[in-house]
Amino acid sequence: MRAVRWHGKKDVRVDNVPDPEIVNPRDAIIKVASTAICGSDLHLYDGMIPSMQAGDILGHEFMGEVVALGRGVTNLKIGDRVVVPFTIACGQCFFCEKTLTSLCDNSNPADNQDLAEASMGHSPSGLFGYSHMLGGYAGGQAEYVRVPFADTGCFKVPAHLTDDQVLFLSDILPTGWMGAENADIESGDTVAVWGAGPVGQFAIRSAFLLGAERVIAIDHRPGRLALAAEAGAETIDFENVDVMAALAETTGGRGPDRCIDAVGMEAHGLAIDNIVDRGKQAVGLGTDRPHVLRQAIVACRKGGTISMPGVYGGLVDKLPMGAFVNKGLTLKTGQTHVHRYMAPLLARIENGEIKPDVIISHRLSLRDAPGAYDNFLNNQDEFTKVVLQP
Amino acid sequence: MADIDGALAPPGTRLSPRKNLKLAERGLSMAAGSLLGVLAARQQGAAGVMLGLAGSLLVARGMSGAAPAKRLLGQRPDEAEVAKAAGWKSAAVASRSVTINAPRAVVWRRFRDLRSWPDWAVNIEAIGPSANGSRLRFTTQDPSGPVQWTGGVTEERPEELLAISSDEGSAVPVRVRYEFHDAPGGRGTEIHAAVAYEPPGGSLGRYAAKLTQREPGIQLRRDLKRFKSLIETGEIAVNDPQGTEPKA
Repeated sequence: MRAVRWHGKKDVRVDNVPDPEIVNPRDAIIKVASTAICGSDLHLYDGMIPSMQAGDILGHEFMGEVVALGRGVTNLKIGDRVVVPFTIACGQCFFCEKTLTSLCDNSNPADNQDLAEASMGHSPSGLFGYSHMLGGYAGGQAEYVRVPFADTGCFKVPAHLTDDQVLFLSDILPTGWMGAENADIESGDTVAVWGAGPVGQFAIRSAFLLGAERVIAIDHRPGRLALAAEAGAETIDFENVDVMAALAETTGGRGPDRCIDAVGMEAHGLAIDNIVDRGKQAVGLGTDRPHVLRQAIVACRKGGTISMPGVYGGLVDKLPMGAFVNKGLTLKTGQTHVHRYMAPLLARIENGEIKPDVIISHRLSLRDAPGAYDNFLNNQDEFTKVVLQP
Repeated sequence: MADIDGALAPPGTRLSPRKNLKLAERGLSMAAGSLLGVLAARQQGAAGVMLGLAGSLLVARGMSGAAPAKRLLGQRPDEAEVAKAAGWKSAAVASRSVTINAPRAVVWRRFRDLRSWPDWAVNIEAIGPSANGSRLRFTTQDPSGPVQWTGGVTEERPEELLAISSDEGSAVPVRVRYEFHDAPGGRGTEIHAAVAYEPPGGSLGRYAAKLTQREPGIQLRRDLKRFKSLIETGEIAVNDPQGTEPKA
């Protein structure tokens, strides 16, 4: 089969590889119908995530048709059309029983858990196509993919909804939603969202649905800010406006009640702290550029909440912890517990409250993946979201 | 965590005392350091600086009585005790615990079924009765390849404790001990495990085994996770085949 494989920094290729097979009783093989490139795939593309190996198959946003099932899967049948959460979850450990599925104890293979434990103390769940520290599983930017624990990991979707409408249930829609939910939004709140990429777009829309009165989107890509404005957000272009001053003034000096960091470890912009972080990354002295997190802590209103759906990979420094403590802030984060949001968000798609396909800018063939990665990274204003079809 | 010989000890891997040098070792260290210092004073340039640095480190080692490298690589006091009790030249002890989301009776029943250990213990190929039926015969993977040895259950209290030891003179000198407790708050069962073994080649052999990932401490950590996964989910997560080999 054809699959998109990581060969090194800024080097992805479409290669011919063996088809996946059923290995464990609860496995399924999915024939991929649609798959997408995620913003977090760009962290891999940039070589920012440790424990990638040349030849790893990428992709954690995918959907398709069940073509093979292990003998342990009884709730699916061949031919089912399913969306698959990017977090792999067993459904039976302590964390899965609490619906904290991105913290599953069992889906990251024991040998791979060692890598995660060495840096994090404990291992989170395995993910599709996202480094060996996080499972070492082959991803879904391929013609076929093996889904472990398929009985909890395959979510059936109704035929009357198109791929474009349901594909993003696999990651970015629930990620944006959980980003807004983690912000503890109360009725009448003003919410600032850093990053108007796909996750930011869904966080903006989710924030309104969760009761925010105003949402302010912060980015530097005019196209992305325009998309945010379509959802009803006010916008700040950080290239032209002093973000801190603008946030303070527009909120009557209070600061936004809730701040959402939908950017993560590779912040853009020419702020002094970000330039220093970029230098440290370049020479291997630092891993993450937490410019947005620093800004959010200082901008947030006293007693407010910061939610961080953006991905961080390693260590950050120069964090204004004094401000965080003295302003009594709360920080909530985590990889998305996708499984628990699938059904409620599908209902909101069906009743028209959320239209996930508005963020798609390009529909391409899987063969176009290398160019698509390059454009998604370097031509962000035009390439909002790329869907690939094998 | 219970010690390997049954004596209770505080949880976690213990460290050797920071000050781990005997009086004679300290004197020797200081004398050697001073000698290097004298030699350094006669040297010119970088060589002199390096010698001087090495000399002062040795003097500091002797004066403080602390040798961090020896502390890191050498045998710990609890390991020395185990070695003495077992009649081994040296011992390595590793411990680890895991929580399994299942009742103690279920965990015990599955764990006590020694014949099924190869399902989750990667280095164990088979466990069966020995030729005369009175002992257990183990086939395990060593860094050098498969090896057979005999041993037996030395202590057993159902749903509480299982201890297994290799027979004297066995090719693989090893003792393991597993304790079973209810986790607080109805969170299942904790297994507290310790493994002690006589590392072939002493400390150096232990680090060589770690490089090949066949070191018992590493295996204990991974095997407990595999056992947990098997009990909780009915299978053990694997990422093979990754599909990284290009199709011919």
